[in-house]
Amino acid sequence: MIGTRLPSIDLPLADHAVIAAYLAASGDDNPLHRDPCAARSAGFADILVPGLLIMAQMAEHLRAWPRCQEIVQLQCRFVEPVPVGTRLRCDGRIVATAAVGLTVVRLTAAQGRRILILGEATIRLA
Amino acid sequence: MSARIDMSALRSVGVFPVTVEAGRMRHFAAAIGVIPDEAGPVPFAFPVSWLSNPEIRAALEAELQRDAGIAGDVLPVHLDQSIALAEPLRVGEDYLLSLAIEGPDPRGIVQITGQITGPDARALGSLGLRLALVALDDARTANRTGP
Repeated sequence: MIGTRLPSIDLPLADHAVIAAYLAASGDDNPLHRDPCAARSAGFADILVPGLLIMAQMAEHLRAWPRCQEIVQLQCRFVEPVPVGTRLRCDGRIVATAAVGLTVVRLTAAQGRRILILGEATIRLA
Repeated sequence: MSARIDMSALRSVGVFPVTVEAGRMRHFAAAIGVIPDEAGPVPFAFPVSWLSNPEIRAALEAELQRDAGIAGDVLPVHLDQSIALAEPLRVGEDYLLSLAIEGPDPRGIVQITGQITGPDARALGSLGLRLALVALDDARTANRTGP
């Protein structure tokens, strides 16, 4: 079981419109995600994708995996800022067993070989 | 940005009523690329959006400003996030979110924790996140000199 991989997918692209929709739905008003001037003044070329938006996409990819009956816990580390429009690939694999009936899945969202978000989920297998 | 040094103790921010409002859940699901379905499971990351509820945000900001001395041009940079749910949340259901805050530590890192309980006071899950409070001048410098 350890080493079993989730299907690798391209996460839905987070462009300006998607980020705007996410900010409206989530209530997040961090200027780095909504204001290009604020992002530029902080040294970025444009707004950044909210890490939570990507984390939410990763969670739903995991939940859609037929072998995942239920996500019990998910933690993500936002390793690097993600510029708007970055194409991200989500991969995952089982790395450990946890308490009875629970399994640990390592998740990544990467641009090429560069991991931008690193996650670890505890799931109940179907 | 200024920060007191003795900020290691966990401080309660309050207990807030929260809900999985159907319209907000639909918009949240659509924004993350999921086909909204009120009969289906609530997006796993949805509870984090409660932290942006006006009364919760105001309480968190007040806590930081009053007890941590945070003010001025500071960017909250999200370092990590955890979500744990003992059972899926339900659309239309009311919950309570108990929030506590720790920090900032000398590096300007704040930890926020939340406990989710159901209407029957059962513990259903938790949230945890760390924010780095970065002075705007520091952010400019870091991003000019970073890799």
